[in-house]
Amino acid sequence: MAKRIISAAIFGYFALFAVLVLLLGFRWNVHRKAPDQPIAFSHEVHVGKLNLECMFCHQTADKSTFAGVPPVSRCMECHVAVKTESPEIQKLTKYWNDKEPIPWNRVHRIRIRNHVYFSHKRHIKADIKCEQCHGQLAAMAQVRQVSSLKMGWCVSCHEANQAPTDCTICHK
Amino acid sequence: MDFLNQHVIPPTAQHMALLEFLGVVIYTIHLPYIAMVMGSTAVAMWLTFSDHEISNPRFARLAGDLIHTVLGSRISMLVLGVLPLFVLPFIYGQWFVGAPGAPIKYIVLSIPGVVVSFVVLALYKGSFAERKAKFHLHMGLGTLGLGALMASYFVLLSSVARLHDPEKWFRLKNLALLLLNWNVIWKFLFFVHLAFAVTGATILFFLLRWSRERALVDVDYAVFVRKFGAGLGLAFCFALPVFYLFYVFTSPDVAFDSTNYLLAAAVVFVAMLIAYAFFGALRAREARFGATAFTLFILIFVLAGSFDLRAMANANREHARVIEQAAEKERLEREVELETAMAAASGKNLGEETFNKVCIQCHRFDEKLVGPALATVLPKYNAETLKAFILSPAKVDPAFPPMPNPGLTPTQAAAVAAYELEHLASMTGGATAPETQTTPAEPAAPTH
Repeated sequence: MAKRIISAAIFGYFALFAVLVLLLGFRWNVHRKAPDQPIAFSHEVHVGKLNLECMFCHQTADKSTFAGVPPVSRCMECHVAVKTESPEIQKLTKYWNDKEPIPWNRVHRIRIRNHVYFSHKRHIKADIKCEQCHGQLAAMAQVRQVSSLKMGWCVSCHEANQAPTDCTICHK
Repeated sequence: MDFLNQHVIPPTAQHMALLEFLGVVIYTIHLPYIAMVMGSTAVAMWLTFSDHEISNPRFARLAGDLIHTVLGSRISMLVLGVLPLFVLPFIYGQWFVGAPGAPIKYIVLSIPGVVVSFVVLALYKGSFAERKAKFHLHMGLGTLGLGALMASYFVLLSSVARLHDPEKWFRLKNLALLLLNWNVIWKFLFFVHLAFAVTGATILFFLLRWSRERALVDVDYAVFVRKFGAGLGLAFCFALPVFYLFYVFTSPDVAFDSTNYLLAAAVVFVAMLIAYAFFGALRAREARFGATAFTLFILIFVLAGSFDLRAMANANREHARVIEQAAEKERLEREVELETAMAAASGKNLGEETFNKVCIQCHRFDEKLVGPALATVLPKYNAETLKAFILSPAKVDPAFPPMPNPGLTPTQAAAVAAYELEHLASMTGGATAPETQTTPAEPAAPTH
């Protein structure tokens, strides 16, 4: 009897931790995985192979707080003729013909938004390279969030670059 | 490292896969040995100290058996303990070539510590016979060897764990910043508890199962060894899932994919099987379950090593892709050189072939497509300036999207430039002027 109870206790103890690990996996899968996108757009092709500048598509990155998702018209400037036989480009053309925006899924998000203000324009003016926060996009077929975007991460970079670290710089 | 890099860089995808395999092999052989040495030395020191205090000859006998089994020969110390360490920096050096700030130098830093600790542990083993006369020397050597080994592996395991977190690399300016991190502390605590649990399995397997005849001579001693080993193993087994869960919880998100979580759950599952084996050994009347527990520990090391390598690969997959692209580019350049030589030999035109394969996607000679009609823009260029433009295009005419880099090699670019200019000359030499065929909406002064 004692043997059975101890065996059950051992099973219960280890099973609890196995379940906790799998729950962590579930949380990761829901919140942190690179999101699927309506069109399999590849930064690896456009940035890595074709060497397009970031600001060619994300036109407002140096002018606004938001980098901006490129309009479909920007894609169609080239894809009206390039690779039109590809099923992914045909999806793009359909959005263009239907005059609908592409419903991209957001990749980067500050999760705890205690009145956090972030400006792309400021950072580009300070000569921070896009890949410093967004990672090696030239090698990403599917974009994922590379940096944590947590406050400690922001502050350590501000300190390293002698940028101001007053609370009110970011928290408005 | 630079010398080595110049000869094997850029490594290909197959090269990287081979490095990963080598990494798993090293972790499978080297880390269990280190864990055995670490745990056995600590347990033997505790047994010697207890014997010194309460004079229990069975404690001293077990301490002696443990030291002589695990710290057996200098050859095994060298082959299992020291040599694999020299391979690790080369593996990681290849993996992180061109990655600024990767904490690989700390891996190198841990090597002298491990060498020193093995030398001291060999002296510790040698001084066991004189432990009564020179108790403090014996214990001092043990403490020094064990301390150096633990410190070195704290540094080594921490730097390997920090490879999963590229975001923080630029902050790792000194050793304290490397080590003061919950993730590496949980990992090290997991390793230390694993070391003690492995020592339990080592006692059951090597002292009872492996040399059964020796143990059976003295039945009382065999029962003591079995209960001590199984009890030690079982107690430390319970700590394993706690520390592993904290380690997984504090690992950065970039290091994960679904497989990582399955591997982590498998580590916990195998730890449960080991706990059952120890529990069985505790209750059995004879030496059993030692081999099972020991084999399952090797499996834990394989699973935990695979978790770490996969985490590193996930966190640095773009860097690996950049290296792979460099290897691909080099291979393509070699192929183009070969093609050029073959084309020259067979009279084919490389420029025409490349134009029809690459440039034709956006350009025609007499028609505006994505880019302007070539007949309108080519007259601005000569062979040299055109080659330079093809290799590094820039936006010229606001009416057109900027030309992306077509990714041609210098040989291809020169051949295309020559072909385009030649073709234009043959066109303008004909009856129709190219301007009349272009669209009237074209800008008067052709740019691009």
